[in-house]
Amino acid sequence: MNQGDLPIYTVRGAPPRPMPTEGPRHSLWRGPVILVAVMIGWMLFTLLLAAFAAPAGVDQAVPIELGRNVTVTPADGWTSAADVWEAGPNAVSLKRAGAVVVFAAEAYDGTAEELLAFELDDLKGQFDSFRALPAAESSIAGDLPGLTVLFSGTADSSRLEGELAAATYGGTGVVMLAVAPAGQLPRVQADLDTMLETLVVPR
Amino acid sequence: MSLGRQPAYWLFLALMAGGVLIVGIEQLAYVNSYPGAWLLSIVLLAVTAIPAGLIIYRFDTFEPEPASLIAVAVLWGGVVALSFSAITNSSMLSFLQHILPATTVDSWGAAIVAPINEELYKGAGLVIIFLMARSEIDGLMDGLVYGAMIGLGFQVVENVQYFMYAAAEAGAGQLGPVVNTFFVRVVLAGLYSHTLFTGLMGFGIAYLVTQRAAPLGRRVVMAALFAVLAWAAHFVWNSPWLDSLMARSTGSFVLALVVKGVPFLVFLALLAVFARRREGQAFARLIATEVGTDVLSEVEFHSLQSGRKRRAALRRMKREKGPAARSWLKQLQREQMNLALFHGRVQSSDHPALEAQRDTIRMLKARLATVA
Repeated sequence: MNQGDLPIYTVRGAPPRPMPTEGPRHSLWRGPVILVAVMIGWMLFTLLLAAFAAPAGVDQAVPIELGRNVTVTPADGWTSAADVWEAGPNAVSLKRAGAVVVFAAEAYDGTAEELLAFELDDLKGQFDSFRALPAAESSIAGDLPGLTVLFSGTADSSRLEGELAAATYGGTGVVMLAVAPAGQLPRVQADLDTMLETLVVPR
Repeated sequence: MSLGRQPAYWLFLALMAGGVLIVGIEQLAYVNSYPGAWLLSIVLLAVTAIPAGLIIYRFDTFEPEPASLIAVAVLWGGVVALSFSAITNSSMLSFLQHILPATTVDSWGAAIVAPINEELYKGAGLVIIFLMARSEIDGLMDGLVYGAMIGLGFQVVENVQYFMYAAAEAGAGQLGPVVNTFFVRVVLAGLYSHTLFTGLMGFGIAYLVTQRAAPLGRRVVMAALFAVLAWAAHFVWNSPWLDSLMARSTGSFVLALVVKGVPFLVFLALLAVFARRREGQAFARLIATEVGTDVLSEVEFHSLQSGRKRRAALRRMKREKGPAARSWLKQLQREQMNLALFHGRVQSSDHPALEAQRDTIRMLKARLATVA
């Protein structure tokens, strides 16, 4: 209430009082012009930052190292899921649109079949009911032979579906486990395929 | 000069038109995809935001701000600031994702990006209100109220987005996730969000433009300090600090929210008390010559200085003389406070506007006496 040196004359419900009319007309424009210049200027600056960081629209997401020099590059829109799934060492968890995927790479001397069977057994224990389709051959990291299983089940009264992929090479076992609410997996299937395809396994 | 001749007003309308397009299209998409969840979101937010807005509006008991400017503040926050922030947040996050590991961006991205962009664009709302009607920001409380209103508008529309994300992640736009998110973002954390951040910034800007007895350098430093404080409150709130504590149990989750938000909230509350005290002092100074006359008794003067005493007087009047008498007393209190505002405008104590106001007060007192 009138704590500055401007007198006031306001009553409740009165229309707002515009600024005084003294001074040349252009001074009325100066403030709004500066304000809009700052607002739009900052927006353009951030757009330029993003454009410079990703020239020609090429996705340059930073690869994440799992372990044993295996790296995964998150597809666009995938972010860390460490808050919902603590993947532990040599692994990373990512999430998008309700789906969570874990990539892990550790020392493993067995075959892809054995690794897949081991992971499936572990997975079954975490579901109240569990069904899996027969394993299908696939390739990861370009041309590395692997096996993929699609599964569905119920855990804690939630209907879930997912994909488990496993491959081994030179004493390294690589696993991808994706889980999503029933009906959601197809929405991220293309991203999962891309991340498996672009996985880097040193050979 | 009318608002229609203010360049700032037309700038506001132009930015609103663009913002309405962005926010409107988004809301339409929500309605089409998840109508039930969207409607529930609107209802839940309305029943909390409207009372919150009224409480903020009533902070400034001596000189309530014009409803039209309050509407400008809320719309700026919910439409203009949110639209610009959405674009700049997305761009900056995209930039960070290309220079930092995804896990780092996921943990710290919101803390780095949102305070910079959102506080900038919400703060711009305070500037546009000042440019539209600079004489309306004539006290510290005014900045706090306008800032909090901008923050409230931003918070409401942003919450609709979060509720819709929750509904979408549930798979079929279910209502349960909307209620859960409402509980976390509004019931548990609502006090520590944008209303708080922009309230702090508003106090700083009001200090800059109203405390003209202080040197310009000090006023600029104070405004900058409060802008940094608003940014810091937002940064701390969005940061992953105490996330591990949050994950332990519901009690730990609430404790973490309290630790992150309460210090800034307490500080803002202290600022509000300070600003209100300044308002009270200004009121007492302006009305001093009227105290003890037939328009304002000593008892009435002391009652007007405290919102609690004013409400107590109203309750007493209702209890003893009925609701009509309470209504007359409320109007009398308002006109007596307006008399102080009139004193701030005119130079002489026998100005016709003052005389007219005194007559209004005498008429109300006579009517009240009749009821009694």
